[in-house]
Amino acid sequence: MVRITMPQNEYMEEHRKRHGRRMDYEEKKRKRTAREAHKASADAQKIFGHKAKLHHAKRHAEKVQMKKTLKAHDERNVKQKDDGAVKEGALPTYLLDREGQKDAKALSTAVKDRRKDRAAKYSVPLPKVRGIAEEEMFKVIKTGKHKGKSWKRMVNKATFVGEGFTRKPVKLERFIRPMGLRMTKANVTHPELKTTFQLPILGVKKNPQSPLYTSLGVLTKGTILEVNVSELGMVTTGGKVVWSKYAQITNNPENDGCINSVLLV
Amino acid sequence: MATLLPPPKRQKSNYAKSLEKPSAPEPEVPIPSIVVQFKSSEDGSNLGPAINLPADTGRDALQMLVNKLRGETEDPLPYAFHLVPKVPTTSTSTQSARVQINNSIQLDALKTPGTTFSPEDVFELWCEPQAVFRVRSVGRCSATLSGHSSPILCCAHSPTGKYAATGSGDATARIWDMDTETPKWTLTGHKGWVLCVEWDSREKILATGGHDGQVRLWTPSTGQAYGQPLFGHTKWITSLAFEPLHLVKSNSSSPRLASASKDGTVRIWNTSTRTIEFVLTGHAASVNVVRWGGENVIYTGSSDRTVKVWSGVDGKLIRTLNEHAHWVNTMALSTDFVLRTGPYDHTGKVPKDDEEAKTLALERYQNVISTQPETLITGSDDHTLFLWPDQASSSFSTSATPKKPLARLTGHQKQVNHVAFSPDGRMIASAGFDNAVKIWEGRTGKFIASLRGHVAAVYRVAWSADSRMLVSASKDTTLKLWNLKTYKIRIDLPGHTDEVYCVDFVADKVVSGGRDKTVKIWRN
Repeated sequence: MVRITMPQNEYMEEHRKRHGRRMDYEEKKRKRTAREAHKASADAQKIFGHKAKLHHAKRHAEKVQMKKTLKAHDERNVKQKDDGAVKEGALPTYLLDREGQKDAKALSTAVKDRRKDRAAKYSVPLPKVRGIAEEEMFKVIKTGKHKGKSWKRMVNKATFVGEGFTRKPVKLERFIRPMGLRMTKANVTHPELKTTFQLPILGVKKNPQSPLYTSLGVLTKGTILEVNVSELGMVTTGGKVVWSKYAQITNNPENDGCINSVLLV
Repeated sequence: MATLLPPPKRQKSNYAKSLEKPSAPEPEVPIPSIVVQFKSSEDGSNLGPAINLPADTGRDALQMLVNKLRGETEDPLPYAFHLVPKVPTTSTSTQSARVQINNSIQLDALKTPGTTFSPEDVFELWCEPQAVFRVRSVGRCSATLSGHSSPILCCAHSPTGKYAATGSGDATARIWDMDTETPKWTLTGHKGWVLCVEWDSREKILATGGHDGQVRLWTPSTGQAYGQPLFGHTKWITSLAFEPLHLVKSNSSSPRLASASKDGTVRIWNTSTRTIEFVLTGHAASVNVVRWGGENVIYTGSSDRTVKVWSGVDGKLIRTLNEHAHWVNTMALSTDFVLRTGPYDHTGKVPKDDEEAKTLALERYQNVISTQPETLITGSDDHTLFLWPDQASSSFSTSATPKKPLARLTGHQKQVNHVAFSPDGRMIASAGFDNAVKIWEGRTGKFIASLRGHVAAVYRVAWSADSRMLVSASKDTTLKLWNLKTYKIRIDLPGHTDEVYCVDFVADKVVSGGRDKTVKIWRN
């Protein structure tokens, strides 16, 4: 027998129009909405099985959306530049319609750069790093009612997670990156100027230990980071402002509590 | 224990060498006597009979002879001489199609290896009269003027050479005083990049065209706008051209202005009333360049691969020339220089009033026209240029139909970006994206020489007023001054830190501007 869940006619609305609502309808409604948050939280902790999986997936998506809207609201208060200004990239008349044409030289250098990238041949200050064993990197977390399952790992080293980071649903998380070990700024030393700046990290480019650590964002000695150098005010020959550069970590951040690195110029 | 080389011998100092007795002179080789036939390069006629001369006659002596033969001993003109080798140079591609005689026939033709001359031929010496005045060579950067906050897109010298105007991507145009090398006025008003700038031949109006589709007129003496901006175009302005001074009707004081735009139309404006006289529609794509010829004929080159010839009187289409296979990028007339400078020439004479200016301009124009009718050259993205015969209706007596080109100039390996006639109309210089500047004969379109030296695309070329020097601006941030006797670099003018977008050469100064936002003035 198929259950019919919706009212089949407008009898509910008709009753409300004829007789109105209960005297304490507003108060009951207010109290019920106040309890919603607690009820939702209690449900999320107690449900199990297929229902739980569906609920958690839906909730994760909602969380991600909420974070994005909050960020957008924050940006709303920042003043934007006046758009009456002239566009950048002025070109004389004979170059105006030639955007699509690329020089053969530009194409060949682009191809060579891509090949170098794939071969990952870079000259860096620390070419070799000590290998780190998995026992040192991860701590096994036992879960389950009798603490029998041990498939979760907690990262023991410093990590970088990025700005829009939202944790995966807790039940499905395999690698835990504790908030205490998350770092956002690095002390970057310019090798020629010999001065050090504290610059925000934009991302982890490569961890020499393993690509898994690169994707997790683990920061160990020898990791290549991308840092935001707009504070330094460097300009290319074409007049464009350089705002990100690579740097390599030179200390063990989990021992010191800070990241010391050297800029790769 | 390897064997050591003996230490190098001590060289004798110059003084010690001068104390030595001079070595015995080389045995004298008898200088051959050759037969020389002077030919005028204007029409190929013989200037007098064939003359028997010793082969080491210097250039000055040859010049004197030619002047005597022509009967111009009171007013001697300087001449440039060259020989055309009879055997086609198929083996060596480096040899140019003509051999310039700079010192004497013996040194330049007989002695140099690789040429196929022998003392028994009759040497046909082609004589080209050169300008009586001489422009001083440019050698150093005398001033670097900053002020623009965006790359400089166009520059133009005023007809007298006193001022230069530059337009830039920051929506302003600036006028610079060339004598003191300082900024004079800043002309603000455009809402987009200033793409083209043109002076009228009396230095009274400056016209600027912008990326916003507006054409604005300014008075250079006060730096103020000359009336309201001229609206009408829907897309950006690609080129501007003023009416030649000798065509301006006496009742209207200022010349008309033609503006070409990406929207495919050319609008002719009356600059005193700032209204549209007529609109030349018909092109199916962007009109890239417009020129106003001296016979009241307007030439337009467009991205629809055609060149259209219009009447300057009423705006009717006279004919369409469609031989190009790709966009027509650039165009030049043999009378370009004389129409741009109007009544001003190298004597520095200032006309008293408009009437005198008009007569002077007409005189100068007719001087140039008498030797060579107004020819048009167009350069295109299909790597070639076309030389077109005179399009004005007054010269239909020639055998060649005006629709057929006189010559197709091939040789560039990439798109041709800029082409310019020399002021005397004898030579054409074309700049292309293949890093070469090519020189062609102005009358027939025959290839003369290829000037190599730039390492990136050459954007612009400019001739000096006496047609003896050529300066080219390129993407590789240098300007190069070329020696037109040996077809090699004469002086390299580095100094810009980014691509050089525009260059102009009037009087004895070169002004250049580029992406590094500075204007550089180069002089002797």
